[in-house]
Amino acid sequence: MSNENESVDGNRVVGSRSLAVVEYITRSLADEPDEIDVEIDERAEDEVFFLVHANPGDMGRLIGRRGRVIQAIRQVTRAAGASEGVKVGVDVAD
Amino acid sequence: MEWVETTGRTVELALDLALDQLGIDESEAQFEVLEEPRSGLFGRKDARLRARVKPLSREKPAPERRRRERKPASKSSGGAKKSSTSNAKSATKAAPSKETSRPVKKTSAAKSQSDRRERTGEMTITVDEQAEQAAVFTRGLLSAFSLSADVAIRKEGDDVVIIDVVGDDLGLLVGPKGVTLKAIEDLVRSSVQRRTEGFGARIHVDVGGYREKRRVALSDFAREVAAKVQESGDEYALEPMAAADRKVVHDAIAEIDGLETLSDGEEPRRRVVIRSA
Repeated sequence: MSNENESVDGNRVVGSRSLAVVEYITRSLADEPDEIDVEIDERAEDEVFFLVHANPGDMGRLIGRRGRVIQAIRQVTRAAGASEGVKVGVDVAD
Repeated sequence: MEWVETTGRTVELALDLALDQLGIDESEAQFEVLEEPRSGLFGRKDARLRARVKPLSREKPAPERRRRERKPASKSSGGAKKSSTSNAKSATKAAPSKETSRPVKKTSAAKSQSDRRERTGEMTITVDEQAEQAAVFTRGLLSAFSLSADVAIRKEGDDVVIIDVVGDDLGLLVGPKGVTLKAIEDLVRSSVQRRTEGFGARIHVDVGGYREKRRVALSDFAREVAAKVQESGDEYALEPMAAADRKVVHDAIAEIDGLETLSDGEEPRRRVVIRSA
């Protein structure tokens, strides 16, 4: 999966697997996948926060009723992060 | 499919109860409010509703556009192109809010849901197509994870689709107590609903047969707890679990004479209590 906003720490992308996962999920769910832009905030060697920017019209879909979708996105992305030893946080914004 | 009828202090509570009995998520349910809750001088009247597993929506095209018209002008800067569809969607999405203090609002939320349900017509996609979309999404997710696994589609009956993910070392997709698997299932459903507006097949995801194993283990566990209840007469509350899991427990205990189950607490902390009948 390509990502324009690659975050490189030395040679290493912190949480590259979880980044691929969060990008894939949000792009798959969005009506405007091209407007998905994941801002990466590396908080530590082993901790990263993804802020997913989306078209305002996609916010409802990415959050879901009672936050159900965003919670699922967080859970799955955290699992990806855990598998590469990275603590991951996710939020969405327009 | 069978309807269940429930009552509760609020529509929301009655719905929770119905979902419990059916063992399904709200997204899989179709429901109608039969009676609004009322409180008056002479006591309170509970909300009454009936619910069932959402049927496939091929039968009745009854375009229902009211909500679209009623929706105030877009507040977003999202551009003209998307306004009509996405506004309608966000209106219905936002409607069933969590607020428990205002029955009036809740009522309209429940109604708007059935409105949406009527509005089928244009999106008729077959169960097989939905299954295929679910499988495609799942395969993409696996490749984002850099995992190699097989994804197979299994059908049960007319409208139940199970996406089976089979491979080695897939534990990370299951997670503690299956939470990750449940989240993946939610996302697979969302990815299909994106195209079907919430109608259609009941989609489940299983990884390495986890679900079936859990179902068996959960029934066994419920029977163990039941034995304790019978011995001591005390009631036992199980850990909070998902609606589908609660149904497994309800079903297992229903086969035992002299015991009954009820569900207690609010989602997602809702739990089954086992006690003497």
